[in-house]
Amino acid sequence: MTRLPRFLAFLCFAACGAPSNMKTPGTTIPDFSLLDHQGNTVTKQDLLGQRSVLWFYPKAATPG
Amino acid sequence: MAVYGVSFDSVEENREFAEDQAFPFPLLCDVNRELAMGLGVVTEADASWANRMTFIVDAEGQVVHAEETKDPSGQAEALLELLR
Repeated sequence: MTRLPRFLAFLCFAACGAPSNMKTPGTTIPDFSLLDHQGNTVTKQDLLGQRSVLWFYPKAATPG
Repeated sequence: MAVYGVSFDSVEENREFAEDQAFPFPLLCDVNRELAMGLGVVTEADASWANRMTFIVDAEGQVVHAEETKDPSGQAEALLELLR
């Protein structure tokens, strides 16, 4: 039974304390090729040469 | 500077969204989660939706700022401040 607290602590770490995989400053964005809302292809090359903002949102037609 | 919205929605869904909101920037349709997986926005290729994350990328393709937004209100203003 003495192992139980340790196991619970591990579970909590696994559930809440796992490090995010989000790319951090200093890393390079991956190659990609996607369609935009008008059907145009946009690739990583299109972003290079100027500063860009990539804004991820959960779902079209929802607030925020 | 260029701004891109990114979600997992189809071209059709994002076209409707862009027209409704009159966004002055393109919305990218990451239907296969390739960009989101590459940037760590989601960890599963079948994730239903993207987490609210924003990246500022420099002219060489390097991430210079990354943040996750829990509450979208005020996000635009905070981002504009960062970009100044």
